[in-house]
Amino acid sequence: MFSKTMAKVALALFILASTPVGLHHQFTDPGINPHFKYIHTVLTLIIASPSMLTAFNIIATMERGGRARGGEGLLGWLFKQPWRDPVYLGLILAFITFGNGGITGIINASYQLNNVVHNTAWVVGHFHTTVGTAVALTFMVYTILLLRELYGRELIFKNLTPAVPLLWFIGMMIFSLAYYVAGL
Amino acid sequence: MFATGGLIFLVLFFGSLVAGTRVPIAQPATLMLNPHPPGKATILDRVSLLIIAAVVLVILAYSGVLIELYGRGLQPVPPLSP
Repeated sequence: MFSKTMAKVALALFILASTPVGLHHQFTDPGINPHFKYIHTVLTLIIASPSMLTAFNIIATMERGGRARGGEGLLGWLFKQPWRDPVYLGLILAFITFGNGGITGIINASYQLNNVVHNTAWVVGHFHTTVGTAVALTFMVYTILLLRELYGRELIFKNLTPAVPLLWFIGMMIFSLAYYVAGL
Repeated sequence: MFATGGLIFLVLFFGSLVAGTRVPIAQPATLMLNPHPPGKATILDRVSLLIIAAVVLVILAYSGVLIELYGRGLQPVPPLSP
């Protein structure tokens, strides 16, 4: 890992700031005190910091690994990643999708912009990029990883495995982007 | 498209559970996320642990109050719009 300290700081900030942020989906609810809405806005925006730290840490780790495998030049390290490993591929695709979901989360947390997207298909698209892909895809590929360790079984049709994260990612991107557009 | 990916995942997972070649289950040590022995806890580790414990306590504290309030059919704050 590029920086363990950075990962620890990001984890602590995530736990501290990301627990009470759910009200960024309820800004138009008249029953909630505006002060709580303000607090949740600030905390949601604070989450952007550990998210960026994590993004930097992961990409820097990938670059370090790619260069150690012989990747040269500006982007040569990208081609030296273990893309054929379905677990690695799935995690990186989930990571990319989480970037998408995080940016739309910032839009949800902006009081004025929230009035535009509230109660529209935009929110459905946001959830499908965060929970529906970043979380679900991570769980799926980890299940594949743990199959051997926990159940003592080899995976059947191994060549078919990369299709799982690829199809999920491409399909969910089309699905979510369509929902964003529909919501606007 | 993503439903197809999910379907392939289910077929692969449950198919492997039933028809996958048996391999010896790994020793617990190989499942460790960090194969190196843990180093000495830093100040940051201790502070992080305290933060986690504090957050859990706060959540438990205000969850209890809210469950009580909503259980009685009340709201923590009155509606702001008429």
